[in-house]
Amino acid sequence: MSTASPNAGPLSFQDVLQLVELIQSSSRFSELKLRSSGLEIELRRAGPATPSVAPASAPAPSPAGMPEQGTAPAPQPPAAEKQAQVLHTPPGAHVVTAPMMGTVYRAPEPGAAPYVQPGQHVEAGQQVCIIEVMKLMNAVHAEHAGVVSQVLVADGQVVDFGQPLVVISPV
Amino acid sequence: MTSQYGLVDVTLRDAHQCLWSTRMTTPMMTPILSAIDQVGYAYINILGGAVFDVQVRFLRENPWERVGLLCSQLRTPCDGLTRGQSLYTFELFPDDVVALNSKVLARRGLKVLTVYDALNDMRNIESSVRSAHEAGMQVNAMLVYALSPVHDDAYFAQRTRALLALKADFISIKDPTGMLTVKRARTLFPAVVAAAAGTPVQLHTHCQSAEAPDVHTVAMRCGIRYGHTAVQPLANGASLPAAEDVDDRARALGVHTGIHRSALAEVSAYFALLAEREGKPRGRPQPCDPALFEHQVPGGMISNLKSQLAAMQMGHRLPEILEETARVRRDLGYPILVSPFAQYIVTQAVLNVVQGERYKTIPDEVRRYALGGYGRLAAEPSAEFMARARIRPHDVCTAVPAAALQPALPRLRQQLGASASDEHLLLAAFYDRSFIDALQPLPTPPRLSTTPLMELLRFLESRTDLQRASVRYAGAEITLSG
Amino acid sequence: MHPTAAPRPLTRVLVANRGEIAVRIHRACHELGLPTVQVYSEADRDSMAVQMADRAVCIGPARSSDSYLRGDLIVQAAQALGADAVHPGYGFLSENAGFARLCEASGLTFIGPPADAIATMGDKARARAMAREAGMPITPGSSGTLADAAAARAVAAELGYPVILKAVAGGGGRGMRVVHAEADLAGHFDTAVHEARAAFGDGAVYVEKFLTGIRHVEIQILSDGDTVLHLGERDCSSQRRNQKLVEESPCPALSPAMRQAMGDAAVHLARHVGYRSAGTIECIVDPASDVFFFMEMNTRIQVEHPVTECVTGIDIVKEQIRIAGGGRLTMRQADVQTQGHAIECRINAEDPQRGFAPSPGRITSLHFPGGPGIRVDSHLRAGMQVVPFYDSLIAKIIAWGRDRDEALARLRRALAELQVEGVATTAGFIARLIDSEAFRRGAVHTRFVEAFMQEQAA
Repeated sequence: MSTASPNAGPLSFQDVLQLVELIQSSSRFSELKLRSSGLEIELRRAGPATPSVAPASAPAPSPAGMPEQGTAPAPQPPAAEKQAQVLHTPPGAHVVTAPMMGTVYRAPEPGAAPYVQPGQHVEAGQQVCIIEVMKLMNAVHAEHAGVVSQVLVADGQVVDFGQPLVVISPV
Repeated sequence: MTSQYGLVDVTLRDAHQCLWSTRMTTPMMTPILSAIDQVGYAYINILGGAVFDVQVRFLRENPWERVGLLCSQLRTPCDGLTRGQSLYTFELFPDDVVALNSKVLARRGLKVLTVYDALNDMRNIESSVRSAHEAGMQVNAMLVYALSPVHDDAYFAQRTRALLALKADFISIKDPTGMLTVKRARTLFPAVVAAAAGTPVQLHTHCQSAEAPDVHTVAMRCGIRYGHTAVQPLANGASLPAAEDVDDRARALGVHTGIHRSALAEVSAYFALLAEREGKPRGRPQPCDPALFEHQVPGGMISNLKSQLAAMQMGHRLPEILEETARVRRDLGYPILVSPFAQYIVTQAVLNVVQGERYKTIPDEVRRYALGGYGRLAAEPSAEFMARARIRPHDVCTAVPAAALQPALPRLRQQLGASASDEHLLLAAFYDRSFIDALQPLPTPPRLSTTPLMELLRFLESRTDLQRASVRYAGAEITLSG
Repeated sequence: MHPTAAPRPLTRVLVANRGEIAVRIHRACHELGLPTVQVYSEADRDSMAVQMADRAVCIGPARSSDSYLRGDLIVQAAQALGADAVHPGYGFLSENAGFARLCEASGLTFIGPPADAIATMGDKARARAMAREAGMPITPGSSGTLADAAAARAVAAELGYPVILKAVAGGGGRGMRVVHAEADLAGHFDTAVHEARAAFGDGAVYVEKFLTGIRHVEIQILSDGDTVLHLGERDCSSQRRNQKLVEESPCPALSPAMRQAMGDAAVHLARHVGYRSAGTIECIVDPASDVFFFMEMNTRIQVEHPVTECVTGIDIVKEQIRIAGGGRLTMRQADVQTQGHAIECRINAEDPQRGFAPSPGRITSLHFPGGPGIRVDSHLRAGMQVVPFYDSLIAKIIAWGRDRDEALARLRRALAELQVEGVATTAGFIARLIDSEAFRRGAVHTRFVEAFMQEQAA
């Protein structure tokens, strides 16, 4: 909380030096927030969020406590920008949309074949993907039978409630 | 024991000369001058040979303007260092040039002229001292400390007496390579203070041996009255000890320095920020390398030497060259390794090593040195060297070097015209026209103040990797986007 | 006790977690006068924990595996921002021995137990072995991992059905399958191995007798490496799908003799393992036969720790931090007194009407209860987002009273005062749960919530 901090004296050169030294020492991180003597600073550096240093011996995720999401090493989701895309759908097609905000997985588990591919025939009620929210996997189904004409999301992508996922055109 | 130990700040001169290749510009200095005045220094050193030269050659600043600006903004008295008869270069100048230099400096507001001769031949500083006094400045005459069989306490006591005879206002012990040890100081300092017979003595010692702060403690105990220091970020290593450290030692002894630590901390932080912004190194204490006491090459020179050798793909031969430097020093009668002789000796050492044969090539300056062209040597050069140089005893000259020089001003005035200013004349005496024409005026008005917030913003602006920075302070929000 | 390097006093703590536990750690550090550093993912940029720290650094995108699970980045952040200690909270890397070792190797104090203790007790099979060595009863079951379905069948035959298959590397209620008849065993065994491998990276499985009508009672341990104390028990039987919903202390069904026995056994086990810092030994209590069994040990601070803090007056997180900095426990077991009764309920952003589906979104209005005996631990304010990448916990509401009835009355009142708009929550469901006749009587067991839900549906 940025209410009066205990050491909110006037800003000194030494305070600024300390901030600058912290900024220098954290050069591998792309985003930083610092506060000292009543001054708040937020920085963004150019470049990807994760530093280029490869994880040394990436520790296995915690097995206990809060249920953790699976160790699916899915590829990095593409940039979070929502493309203001105009969706061109064939006449009579129906669009499967996300029933909730979450992370899309196109396959039952990493390395397995995706539920659906463009060109594939699907039955009414057939599962097209998973949306994972708070570590719970939710199956998403096609309402009507048809042929998958477009898959609009990538594996591991974060989607909003109502975001179009798969377009199914009538047979 | 002294009860007062005044600190002389060298941050704006010797410190960056040692650590930043002398690249501190006037605009870097002006914003912090009023804060520097609050620290409580006795004197502030603002000028020295390398500084003058680098300003003209690389920074394209007019050195007289810096002197004038700093002296007018600082209430604390300022001092400037020259190399005696060589002033800011390595040549020798006639007395009329030396006198005009004193006049110009005094006119620009300098209060103390500090002079030394690289050979401790005090005849070479006489005209500097006289002209400085005539111009209304005080004089700080320096003894250059060196380690050799001939440079014993008696030697320095005798030189001190010679300086007294010149009516120096201050006498300094200058140790450019940081070779003064506590042990030596315990005998040397009392000898010099006694010989000074009441004239205040100052201590100027670098930190290569890491003993400098403790040597200052000895100085305080022996009645020395001033110590030269730099702020922490520009102290230690090849530079001078930190004002913070020396002041700590003074307080521990109950000695009064007049330093206000909170003001000092702010000035220190400013220079640390400056270092970060400009990508310059901060001084770090370095452990003592025993080889230092053999080769004795001054700190300011080693980094230059390293980069020159690196450019010639010869970086790996540095230790060999430093060893040869020790031998050359002995052969040449123990010249003190301070400018200009440090350069001559090291050049000779490089030649000896690269050519594989000692003294196959002898630079003119080395020959001239051996002939007494720069002044009286501390000891005679070795027979081997004299033979290789083909110098016989009667070739050696014992006259004052400058005595042979014709006055230079009349010719310069004729060349440049009657309307040429004294300052212009002097620059023309030192440099080619091309350098003088290239000088840029300082920004006007100069930035004479700054705030921590401004320095933070300047730092952020200097970072090329930052995409966006948002700073909130005192109800205001400043956003910088790259 | 295992000798360790002499602990140094801490000067700045890095909080390697998020949400309400991060806020909890910041609070403890503030009280101790310790400045903090917060590492955060892009999703937590505007979180309360980030605002509470005066140094914060983004270590990656929302996905835990790219941020909160990146031990290497956390250590780098600590070094860059001047932290000399790391508090891992719960979940994430808190029970990752590799991370604890990485911290120590990097010169950072890991606020928790020694890495070896984490490794030992994190391996469920080894933990059971340690419990047995320390003389603590363990649920009848296989003494090691099962090589195949045949081995499982052999052990199950001895134990008698029903049995439960559990992942060695599992925990927190995941990776478990109940088998009621021998005919189903082989199929369940294969599935259990497959699921364990997918979820935890390790397909090892062991088998236990499946007890019903049992209570889940855990003992809070606190140790400075020499003095080992227990801080009483918590009854956590109210669970849905092995996730705890309501916890209370003291356990209404525990006799003083049983309480003493469990406490002593827990202390003994903790000592046997060379434990330091806070930890919880989870047990099964079978009221029918008046026995208790060791189930597992959690080598970290637990979500429901406020329950114990309320009845003992001991600030467990502060003690963890003090112990990590070389502080000693000045109290003796006799000094640990419980007063009154405390009940905690977890309020999650889930919609009970839609099968407890997660309900992330922006909280448009939020009012937490107050008044006597009410403690609320939360990281949320009106206007903040409940992000979908982590757990669904919104707040923990803890009520303390001089006795169970008063605690219950206060909790009921508090849930009525609670207002959350913008996301669906389980508050209403919990309110009805604690109002049920069984809960009021204190007659809860691990199938109680399920029974309650079936009752409600009928």
